[in-house]
Amino acid sequence: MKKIRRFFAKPFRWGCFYGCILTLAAAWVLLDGFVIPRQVQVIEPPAQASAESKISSISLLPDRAEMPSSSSSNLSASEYNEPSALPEPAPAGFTENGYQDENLQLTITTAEYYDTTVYLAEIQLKDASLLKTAFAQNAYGQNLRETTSEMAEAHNAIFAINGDYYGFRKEGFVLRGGTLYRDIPRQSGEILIFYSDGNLEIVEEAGTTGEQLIGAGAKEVFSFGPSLLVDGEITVSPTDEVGMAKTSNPRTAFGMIEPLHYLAVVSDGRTEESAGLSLYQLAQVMQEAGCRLAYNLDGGGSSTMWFHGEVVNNPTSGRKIGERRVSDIVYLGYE
Amino acid sequence: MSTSDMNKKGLFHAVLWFMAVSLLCLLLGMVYTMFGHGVSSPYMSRFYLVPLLGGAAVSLLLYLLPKAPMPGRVVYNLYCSGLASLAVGMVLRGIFEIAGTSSGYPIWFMDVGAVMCLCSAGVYIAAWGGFRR
Repeated sequence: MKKIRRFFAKPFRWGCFYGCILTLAAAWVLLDGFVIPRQVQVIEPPAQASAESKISSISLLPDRAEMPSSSSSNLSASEYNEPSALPEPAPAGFTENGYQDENLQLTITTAEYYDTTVYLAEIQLKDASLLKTAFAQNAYGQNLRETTSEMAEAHNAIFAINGDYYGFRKEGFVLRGGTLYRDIPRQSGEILIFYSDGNLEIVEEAGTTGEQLIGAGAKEVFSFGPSLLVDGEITVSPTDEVGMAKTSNPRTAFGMIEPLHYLAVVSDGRTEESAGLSLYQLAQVMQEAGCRLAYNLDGGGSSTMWFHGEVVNNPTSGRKIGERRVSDIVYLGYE
Repeated sequence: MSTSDMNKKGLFHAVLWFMAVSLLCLLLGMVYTMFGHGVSSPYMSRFYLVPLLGGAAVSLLLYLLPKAPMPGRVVYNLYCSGLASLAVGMVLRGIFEIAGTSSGYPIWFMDVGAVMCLCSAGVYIAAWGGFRR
């Protein structure tokens, strides 16, 4: 003990020693939070169980049986049907700005809102199972990342957008393909639920359990938010923002016009050409496009829209144009 | 209490050092927030207050009080280490908040730092009580 005291009695020795300890500890925390990958569960190929088998009598919505009837569209989307037995997208179905086959119609348009280029992808499905999600490196875990295009190509997707970047956080439901991977709800915020019958719902995350979600037939759950539209009405104020963010940003949002008729929106931002959107402006875009329900997904440098082998928007972190590696995507496809 | 080897001159130098560190922390916080695309965190914006109030202000107080005994080196090192842990914890929390994520570890840095500061302050105050008797 005396030797230790004598050692540290010299000027700055204790400071240097403790400084090193603190630096190493801080470095480890940062590596753990941002770099060290942890693969918790590799994703097995999806089982061939029908969607009806996962729906029980428990429901989060008291009147989910009374879904709004579909309006006229090119694809009839009133009842659940088995998709046609197409093993992969039909090459002839691709056009310059969309895709169409017997089961799915996709149209991508570009527009300018608030000095920002916005990409709108209108999706009409015959079957909800064509809207899927995928994890980076095909595994659930922490700090597992790939670009949206890498994940889309790995799953032979027709179209893809980034998801809710679940891997960047340690809480928030992660339910994909009907499987619950993380049952830790956030204390505040809303989740987007995608049901097997093609309906979407936004509910408060706190007070919801994983068991309820599974029991209600939730196929995909996203934990980011906030909600942008509910029943056609904007649910964010002009000053609302995600977390501590304050400025306009690139955005990703997913909305429903009616069951099996959706709109995926990605906007540019943080560039001279595109200022970016606030949440309120994003909600206005979704409302103007006809969505009755819309939800904000991970934006900023994560915002990416991919179609038929190419990135449609200009993803940027603000310093250079390029895709950010993210932990999950939402895509259209048969695999 | 151990033989004190802090003196008035040492405390004065400590005040200057802490003020310089506070200024550096303030600049770091401002630069980090500037590159955060408008995202801010109160922890990143305010961690400069730890060396400023906890370090410079306390050292200045001890320097100016005529009857305050000089803190021992061990107590002083413990206190400064606590301040450093507190500041690092706030920086880490700020980094995670600006990135839009969270971690359970920064709170440990802040807790350990607070405990170290409180223990050293407690020992100093207790010694001051014994010194006055």
